[in-house]
Amino acid sequence: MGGTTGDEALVLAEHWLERARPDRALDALSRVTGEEAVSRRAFRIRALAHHLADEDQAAVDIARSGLTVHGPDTGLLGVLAQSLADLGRTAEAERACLDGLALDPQHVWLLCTYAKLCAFAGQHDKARQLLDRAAAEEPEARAVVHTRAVLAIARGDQDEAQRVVAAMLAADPDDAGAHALRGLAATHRGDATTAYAGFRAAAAGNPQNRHVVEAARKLKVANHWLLRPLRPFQRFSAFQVWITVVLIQFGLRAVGLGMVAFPLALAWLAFCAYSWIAPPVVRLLFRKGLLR
Amino acid sequence: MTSDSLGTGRDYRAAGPFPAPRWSVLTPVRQTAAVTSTDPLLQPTLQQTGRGPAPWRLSSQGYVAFFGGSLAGTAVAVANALRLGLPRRTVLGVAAIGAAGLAATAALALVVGGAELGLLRLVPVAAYLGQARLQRDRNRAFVLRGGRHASLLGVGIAAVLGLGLLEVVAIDAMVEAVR
Repeated sequence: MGGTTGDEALVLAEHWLERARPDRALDALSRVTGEEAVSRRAFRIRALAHHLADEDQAAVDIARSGLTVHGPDTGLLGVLAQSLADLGRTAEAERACLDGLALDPQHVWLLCTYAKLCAFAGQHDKARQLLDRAAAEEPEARAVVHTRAVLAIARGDQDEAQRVVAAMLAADPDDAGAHALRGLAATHRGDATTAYAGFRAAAAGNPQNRHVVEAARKLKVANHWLLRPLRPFQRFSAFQVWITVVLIQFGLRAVGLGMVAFPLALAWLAFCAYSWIAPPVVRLLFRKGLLR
Repeated sequence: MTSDSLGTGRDYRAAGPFPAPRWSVLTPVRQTAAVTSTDPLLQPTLQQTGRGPAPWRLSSQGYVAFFGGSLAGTAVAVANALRLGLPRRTVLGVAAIGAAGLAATAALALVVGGAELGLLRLVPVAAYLGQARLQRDRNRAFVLRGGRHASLLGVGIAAVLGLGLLEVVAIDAMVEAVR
């Protein structure tokens, strides 16, 4: 009888994981007792729940305990690799990926995780080959499509990133992950409007994710009309804007238009002062609830 | 080149959690003992990644080049290329652009007659744009994986004052010697 209850609780925990509710999954898991509480399946669910709840260090510890108790396991190694990657511990994450792929060289999740790690280190060719291998196994898998978009962003291939994300959104307009990828691609283009639209939709669909909610909140501030004049600093780097202004000044003086150059320089200084003062003031007003 | 100021939402973790695997129920447990793979694609290539100090923002390096000249700008760019873990060939490329910039500055100084400010500022800025281009790809990956840039303020000011002055003095001495 106790076993059946434990099994039901595990099924419930998996149900919550699939609905991106790690808090409820852990809650369900806390009701599992005895042998089942330390089973391979329980370790997998617990580690993944902590990873999805953004508690990566806990996920690493649990996955490693599970591996000690139950031996090599692609599922636990997958969560371990992903959590280590999120913690920025690339070398350890690679080790976990390779340990898992030695057990199952076609493991889609591990191949995708490893592909992202390689892309983040600038190894784009290897990343593409790993993704191709995962796609050959399961071309329509969410992890494959998601990784395809992230790899395109990492290569700076904005067209490919936009194409992949558009296809994801065409398949499911409410896909929170696709909206977040749309936002991520847009921030790397310096397009604050699309970035905010993407992250706002993603945060609405996935309010549990701290990174998404934080990005949406900050981009909302960056999109306020008081900060619109600062758009050039988002689209181009601050240095590029500065050097353009300096070149214009040089040019005006060179052709004997010093009279025009001086007021322009003053206006530029005023604009710079605005760019330093306005963002913290607008952020403060948002915090106090005076702007929304 | 995309913005450094739009610093938020550029970390891949903001793209939501990676789609959860279905193995928790579906994948059968594999009990094979871990073996080292002979597959060429599954050999470790990331064991040296992420060690050492964090790189600097690319745009910050532009100010060092503008105020400090080719020598200061190149020193910072080469150090940053190493921090980004760029391959040796690319680091040499960054250094070569700097050397070309320095040679162009010296040649211009001979024509103009001294390391005067103004026209000569354009050379290190042009060199910087080339050097930043070589670092752009790896810098984007660094930001995407959630990396936080280090501050260039202290090192940058030291480079501008130390190497910038050295460059001006050396070029002025060279112009004097030629005269």
